[in-house]
Amino acid sequence: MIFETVNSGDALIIRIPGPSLDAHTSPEFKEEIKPLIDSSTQIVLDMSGLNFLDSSGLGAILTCLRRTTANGGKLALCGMQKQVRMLFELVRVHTIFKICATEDEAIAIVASA
Amino acid sequence: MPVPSDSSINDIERLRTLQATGLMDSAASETYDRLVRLAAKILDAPVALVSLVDNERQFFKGCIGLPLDLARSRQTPIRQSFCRYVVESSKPLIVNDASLDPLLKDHPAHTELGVCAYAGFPIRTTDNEILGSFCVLDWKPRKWLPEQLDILEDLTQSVITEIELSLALREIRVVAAESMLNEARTHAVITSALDCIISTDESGTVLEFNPAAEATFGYKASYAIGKQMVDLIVPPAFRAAHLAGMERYLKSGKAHIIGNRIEIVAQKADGSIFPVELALTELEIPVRIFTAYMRDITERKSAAEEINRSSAMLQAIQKAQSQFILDLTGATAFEGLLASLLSMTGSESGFVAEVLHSEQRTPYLRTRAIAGEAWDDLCHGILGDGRQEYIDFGNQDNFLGAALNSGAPIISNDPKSDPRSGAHYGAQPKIENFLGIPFMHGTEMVGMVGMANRPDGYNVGLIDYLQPFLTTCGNLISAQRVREQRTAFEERLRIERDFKSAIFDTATALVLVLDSNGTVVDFNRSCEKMTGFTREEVTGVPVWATPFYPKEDREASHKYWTERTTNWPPAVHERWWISRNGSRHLTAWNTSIIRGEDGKPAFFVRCGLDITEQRRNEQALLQARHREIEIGAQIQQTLLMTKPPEVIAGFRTGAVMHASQKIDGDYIEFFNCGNQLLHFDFLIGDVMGKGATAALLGAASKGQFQRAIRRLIIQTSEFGRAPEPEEILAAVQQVMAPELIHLDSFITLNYARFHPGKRMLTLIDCGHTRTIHYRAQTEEWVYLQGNNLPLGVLEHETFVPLSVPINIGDIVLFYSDGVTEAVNSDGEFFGEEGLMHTVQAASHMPPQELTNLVFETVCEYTGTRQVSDDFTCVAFRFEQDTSYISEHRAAREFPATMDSLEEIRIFVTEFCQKEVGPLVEDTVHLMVLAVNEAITNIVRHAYGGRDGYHVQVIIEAAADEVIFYLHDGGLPFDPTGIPEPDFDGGKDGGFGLFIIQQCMDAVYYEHYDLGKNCLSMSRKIRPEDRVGPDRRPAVYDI
Repeated sequence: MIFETVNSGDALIIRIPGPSLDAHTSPEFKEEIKPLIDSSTQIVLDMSGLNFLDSSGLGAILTCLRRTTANGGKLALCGMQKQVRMLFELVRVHTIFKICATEDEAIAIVASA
Repeated sequence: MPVPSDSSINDIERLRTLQATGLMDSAASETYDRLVRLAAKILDAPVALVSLVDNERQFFKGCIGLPLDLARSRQTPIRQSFCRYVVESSKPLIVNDASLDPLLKDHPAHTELGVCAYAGFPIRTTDNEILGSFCVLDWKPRKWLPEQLDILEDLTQSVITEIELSLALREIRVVAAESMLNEARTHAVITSALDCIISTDESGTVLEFNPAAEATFGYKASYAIGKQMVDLIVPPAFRAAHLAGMERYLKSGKAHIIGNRIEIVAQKADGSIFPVELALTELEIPVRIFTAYMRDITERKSAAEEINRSSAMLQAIQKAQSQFILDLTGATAFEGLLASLLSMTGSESGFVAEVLHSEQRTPYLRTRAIAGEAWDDLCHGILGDGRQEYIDFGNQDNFLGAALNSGAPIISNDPKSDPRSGAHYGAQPKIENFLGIPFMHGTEMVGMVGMANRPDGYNVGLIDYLQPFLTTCGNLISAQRVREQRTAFEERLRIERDFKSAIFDTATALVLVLDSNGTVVDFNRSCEKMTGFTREEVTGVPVWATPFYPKEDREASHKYWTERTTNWPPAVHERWWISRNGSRHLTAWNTSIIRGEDGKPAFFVRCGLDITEQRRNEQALLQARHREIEIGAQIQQTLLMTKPPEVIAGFRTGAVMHASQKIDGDYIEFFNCGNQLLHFDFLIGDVMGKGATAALLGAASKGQFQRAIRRLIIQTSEFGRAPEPEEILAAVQQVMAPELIHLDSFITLNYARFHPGKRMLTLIDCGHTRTIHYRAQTEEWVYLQGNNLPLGVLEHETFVPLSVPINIGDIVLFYSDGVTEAVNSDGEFFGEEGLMHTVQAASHMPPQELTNLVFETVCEYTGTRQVSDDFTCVAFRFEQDTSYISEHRAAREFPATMDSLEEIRIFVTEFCQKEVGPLVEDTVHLMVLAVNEAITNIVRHAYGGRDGYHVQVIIEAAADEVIFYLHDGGLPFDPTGIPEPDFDGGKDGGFGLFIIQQCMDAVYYEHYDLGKNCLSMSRKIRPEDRVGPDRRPAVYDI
């Protein structure tokens, strides 16, 4: 799995490869994103390439959040498509993530003190 | 907003019906409170009411959630009522926000009571009277959901059923009270005069069997009712005559016994036959009912018979005396016999003796005849010079004693050295040899012959030769004994006769004696008492001219007595008598004729009874019975028979239902277990017994099914499934079985769940008639039969369902035993075979035509269109014509790996858009998500991540619903049993099932026997799920 990343200031923007993150792809995702998460305390996950997310994929995103928090950092999500957002709301986790409309907003949030 | 019409709330009929329910101002009842609690819970409303509306106020028969003052008064004035609009418009009233409704925003219910949202359905009786509204309300604005309103409407039906029941019950109580009053008044008459009451219909089937009949005949009423009377109580020898008489009467109307009082014989359950006095009456509304009043007259009869028998015996004795025994001891006969014996055997000496018993029960012999030298010394020694009639031999230690004790013949050809000879005879030099033979009468040793001194000695052959002779001896001895008993019996009989005449003289019966011209010659005390006229006043007066004789009968009577030549008065007749004070008495008479020496009738002795009270009572009972039957018929038509919908879930239905006048308690019903998956339930039942009780039990059991289903839906919906038929049966059994057992009744029924989506029919057959199933694929007709016992046989039972596959074109036929037990003129049943034969030729017919054909065929078979039992026949054909379309189904198998997820998502998306849609993308996404999660669970849990397995995805589209079936062969894994996930992000798993439940309306898991898991999920497609205009009928928005 190849992650495209962009550095913006101290923040690391990780573009999640699409089109879907499900029970099939999430084990590999979880394994390979670990080093990237650990490489920064300001993580932005760009989800714009993702048009399907299931509970396993959501679990993987939650793992990223916990890992960043454990590292003393912050994580924000951006570029979320409507139906991916539906899942977040369905299982009520939209409240524990910083979900931003744009990449810039997300960078600002993870950079804030 | 309905426009209030000014009349309907004041409608007299409506108010009268409302009053008749007895519910206005009645105490709160658990039944109604349960329904309002249920409504409040299901609709998540703070208040629910069973509101009965008269012309001044609304009264709450059931209520929950009202403020304290209203909860206490349980009523409001009509001005504060929304429910009145439901009554006036005859339509549901649904209000989401009264403040936005131009007509309701100023209504007192809103402004004073604060009612904001309201949903009410009319409580409509079967007579189409609207008594009130079953409603929920909220203090804040609400959007009532269509599926909530569906349930509210269903619950309203339960309220209506309850009200109908209370109406029916009240009426029955009124009748019962009246009839009890009658019964009490004439209790003495009914118990003393007429004991058994048995009613039958035209076919002889028992309808009524009273407690006295139970006691007399030894059958329980529950057993007897429904049986043929002729088989129960008519002795076999008279059955043919009984049936012929009945048939003749039904054809010609000529009765020999109807309306008369006669004596016949009847048979008890134990087979014994006894005499009865029988009175038979007939009532012909609405069907012919025959009622027999019977009284066991064994006592009376046997006394009379004893006199007859004994006089015959006396004659026989006289004959016997003259022929056999001319003197008291029978000496001549015995001496003749002994002479024959000696000459036949060539013996020198001999005797014939009788066996008697001493007081110590020791047998001894008493001679009836004795002769010969061998006994001479002995005889002379004992008898001396005077001739005695007999000699007793009591010694047990000689030949005679040995024979007496063993009962076996004794031969001794050398008595001197024979140890059995004993001292006495051993010393008797004159006995050379000896033969002793005891003889029997029946099994009793009654006597013995002894002989001695035959030149050639004795042998066994001689004993055989003498057998006929010995039999004669036995008979003679017995005859002698019988004569002695006879003397004692005659003495007893004489005493009895005296006793009987004493009874007769003081009898309470009316006794009237007329001479051959009809003139009164005697008029007993009872007649005087009843009429108030004295014997002196009426004797010497022609009977038709007596003051007690009714004026209207006088002319006929006069004519009869003056013109009569050979026509004697009828043996039995009834007549009204009028007493001095003008009261009328119905009297029943039995006439016997006393003939003069010329053989012509000299006197007519009439014995009678006053049967006025008894007849009045009979009439009252018949009326009460008739009314009960009418009420039962009403209940049946209103509560028991639900007309099936023409098409239900892809099944076209057909039904023929005819209630017989007797009401057998047949019923049918359809149930919808919560709209969860595409299935429906059908119930056909038959209560044992007839009349109002059976009908009420039927209605009660229907109500119990409704209640059980409602309750179970609430329990099982937590687990995302519908209640199973066996759960429903168990719940009903729990409530009904003790009741049924108590009432000595039971219900046969068949509970069917049609599951077109799964191509499955599940039956719980509790002793009902066998269901008939046509399998279109193989073109064969088969019977479906379960093996559960009828409801009410056992208190606890485990119900075993029977599941069969059904396919397009299949027919399922349910029927009551009124179909198969229809009887033709030869008394033969139409039978299962007849039914099967009829339908086999009709597999092409639409269900309604099929059931019509069954009815017509049965009518032809019985020769009448009047059904004698309830006739119920319901057919279902699996057609999928409207609600279910076969092209809207797709099935595909995928490898059970995570690799397949993407492909499955595409499969689901395409199906939804092409076959169901076009749908809003979000809706499709939710369904895709749910399937995705369910597949993930199967791969992960059912197969434990192992390779090489498959999962089948089947999608079906109904008119307003999409159903997904996921089949796998893995470990049984019920995802519906998993707890809710953790939402605070502490865990990253466990969301799967939660997501499925959020995305779908119903989830249902089953594990089949052959190792198959089936997860069914369905989602309703609502108008807002569709792309395009809202095609929903505007029903709910007012």
